[in-house]
Amino acid sequence: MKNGSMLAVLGTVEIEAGEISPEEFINRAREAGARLWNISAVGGKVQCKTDIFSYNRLVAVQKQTGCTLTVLKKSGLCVLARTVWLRKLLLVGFMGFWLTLYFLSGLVWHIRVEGARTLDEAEILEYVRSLGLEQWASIRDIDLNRMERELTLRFPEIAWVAVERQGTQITIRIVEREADPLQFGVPVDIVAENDGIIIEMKVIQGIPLVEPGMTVAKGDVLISGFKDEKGIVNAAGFVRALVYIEGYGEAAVEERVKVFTGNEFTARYLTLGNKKIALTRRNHRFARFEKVETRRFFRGNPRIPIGLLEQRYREVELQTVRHTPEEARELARERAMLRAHQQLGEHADLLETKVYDITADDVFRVKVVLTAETRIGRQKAQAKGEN
Amino acid sequence: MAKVEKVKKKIADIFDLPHDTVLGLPRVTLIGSHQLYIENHTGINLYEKNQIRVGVHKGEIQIDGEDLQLRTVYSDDIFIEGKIFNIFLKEQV
Repeated sequence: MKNGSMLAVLGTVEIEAGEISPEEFINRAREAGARLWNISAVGGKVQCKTDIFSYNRLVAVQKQTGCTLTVLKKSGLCVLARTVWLRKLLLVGFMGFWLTLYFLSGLVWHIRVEGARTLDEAEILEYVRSLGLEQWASIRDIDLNRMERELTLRFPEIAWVAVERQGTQITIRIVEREADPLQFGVPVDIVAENDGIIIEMKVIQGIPLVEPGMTVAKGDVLISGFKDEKGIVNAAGFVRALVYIEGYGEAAVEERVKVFTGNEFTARYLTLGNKKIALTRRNHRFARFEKVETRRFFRGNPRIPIGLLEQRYREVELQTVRHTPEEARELARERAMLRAHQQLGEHADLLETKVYDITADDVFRVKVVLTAETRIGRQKAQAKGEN
Repeated sequence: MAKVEKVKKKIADIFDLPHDTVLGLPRVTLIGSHQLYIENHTGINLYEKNQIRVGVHKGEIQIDGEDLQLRTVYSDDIFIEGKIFNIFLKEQV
């Protein structure tokens, strides 16, 4: 149809010409520059399709030849536009619909508060209402960043807050501060984190219950906090002690280790309450694997029973690694050393390291004992009614 | 052949130009036995289900077949569809 395709999209007219031979009508139309397609001659009449611009030329042919020209059908964008133009109320309704939709999409339909454990949701909603965030308020007028700042200032219990917009819904996500024991009216003690021999201690406040040279066990109270008529006195200070830290490691000449092959398979399910509908057709064919499950809820709300479950399978292979007896002994020593060092605090001064070979069978077993000087005190709230 | 046409043909030969463009000769493209495309026509002489005759420069192309239909008719080209049996080129004497 060459460039006629575009004209046909704009508007197509199906016509019937009578009282003229098909050949004459076609030739006259061609001479007039009209485009015709799907031409059929039925009972001395010609039926064909033409574009809206060619139709005016066919009207001229009709006047010249005196033939009849009947429009059977009209279609295309121009015809649609004319129809719509003639039905002004429809046009107004259509525009009104979109304007209403635009207007309503700019309003707050729903406000949700997430993460409030001790805070009262109603109190938060009441406060944000005073800042202009309420149902049916205009979303465009709300400064979400300001809302976050104001909420943090108003509620000191809030550690982090985000006010997010998702369509017409506003979600206030809150993370509350971890409860501070001081706020419960209970004194705080300093207790021993490890067994050890006290070598130095400084008490800033509280009652010292041990002194240098004493041996303490893990959990023993070193400095005690108390409560008197003036109020709560929390234990403060530091205690250094000589500690003995043990680490154990073993290694065999032949060991089986787990290695990921790199093959993965993800199975997805649609969850409806307790039911699972598989979205993935086939299943994995791994003999050994590790599985990780991820669950996502509809609109992030776990109360809605619709969600997606993703199970990720990673294929693993058991490989046999062989060591010489010397290598196995060294490996056991390294493992024991690593475990012992992991228990050392950051303020520890290492004084001595002793390695004991306790191998009794074909597995090499090593024990490491570290002697170190370190801080052993940590804060712990007293149980209620202790003082 | 008129003198002007002889000159045109000579020019087309010298410059290796397509004759259908220079001399206005028909170009006929047959796709299988169901579609026929004719360029540089001068009009429709007969339009029937079994036969269509298309006027071309100094002659006529006759198409015989079954259920023949003019799919498109533009000023320079025609597209015919149907079961085509024969195509004749009749030159005007």
